[in-house]
Amino acid sequence: MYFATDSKNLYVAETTAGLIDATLAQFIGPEIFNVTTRDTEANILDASNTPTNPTDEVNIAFGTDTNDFYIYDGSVWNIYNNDS
Amino acid sequence: MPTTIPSITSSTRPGSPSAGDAYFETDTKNYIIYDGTNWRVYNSDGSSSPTFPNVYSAELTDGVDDRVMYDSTSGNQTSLGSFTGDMSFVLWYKQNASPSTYEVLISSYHPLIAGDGVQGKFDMDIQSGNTLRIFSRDSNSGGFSDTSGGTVVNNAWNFIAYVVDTTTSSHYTYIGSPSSSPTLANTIGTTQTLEDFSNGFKLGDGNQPNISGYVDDFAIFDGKALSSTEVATIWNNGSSFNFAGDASLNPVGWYRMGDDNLGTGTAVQNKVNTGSSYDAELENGAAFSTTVY
Repeated sequence: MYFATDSKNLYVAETTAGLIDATLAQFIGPEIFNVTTRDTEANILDASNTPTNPTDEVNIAFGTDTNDFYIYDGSVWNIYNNDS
Repeated sequence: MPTTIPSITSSTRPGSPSAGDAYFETDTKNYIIYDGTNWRVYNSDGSSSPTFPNVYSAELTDGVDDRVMYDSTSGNQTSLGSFTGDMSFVLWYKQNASPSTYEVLISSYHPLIAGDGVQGKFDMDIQSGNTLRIFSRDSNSGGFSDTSGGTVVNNAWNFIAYVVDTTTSSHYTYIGSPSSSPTLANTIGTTQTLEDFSNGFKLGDGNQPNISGYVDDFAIFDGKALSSTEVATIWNNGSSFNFAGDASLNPVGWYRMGDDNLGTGTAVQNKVNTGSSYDAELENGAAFSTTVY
């Protein structure tokens, strides 16, 4: 088992791996929280783009023209203004 | 993949959080983050219900070759479906002037011979005098050219629904307007199926005389013959119908013509099957317009 100090990834070799077996199982380390839904406010609020929330989760989006962020609670988008 | 965060209520905050843990509180609408010692609370500054604007259409300007094209992706088959049985399509359109002969409103795409230089199997044309012509050719089972497809209104928005119903061996054309609900305008008794749509379709043509005007809110169904009630539902009192808010109609293609991308670019996104292989495109100078029904 190896821990890469740069990527924070964990690598595990199978017990049956031989000396020539350089393939290790890779476990990705902690990832930075990233808001993947980034769009204009109009497109975020457009009903044809409305997401479905998984159980006990809510969708979050970032407005590229407003710099606000948006959380969909299942019926409305709650808006959090950029204060900077 | 959209980004989600866990949700809780203000009374169910975790007892042993880690620094950086973040939640949305469904009762307060607050976004909270634990800093290692305290919960930091970010109040919602307001809210907005999802909107459903219709502010763009596709303008086919030149009357020559402007068109909305959805074409084959691989193997001369689209990703949308086979269209070998029941199928339907709906759209809104407005032509600028009465055609001198005819103008193609929609045609299936024939990619097998000389690119798009050959018509597909199916055409719906606006004739001089503002009647529809429904045209289908099939060397195996016989085609038809029905010139009494119904009367449309010149220089005004028309709602069209075309239904292939293999159970009744009929093709139905419904015509409506923003202020009048669609009515059955024509019935063609035929066993003809329109599998040519599996090659794609064109709003406008680029080969035959082309509509000069606007098209909007096109939807196409595979394996479904819309009923008159469903046609009226989609007409929606002359307003855009939100298929995303309906669980029963299930089109395979739904194209809003710019309303979902602020009318920019030339890609016409499919709103029900996402991905580039499902999208259509404005071609030959066609552009999004703010002229809408």
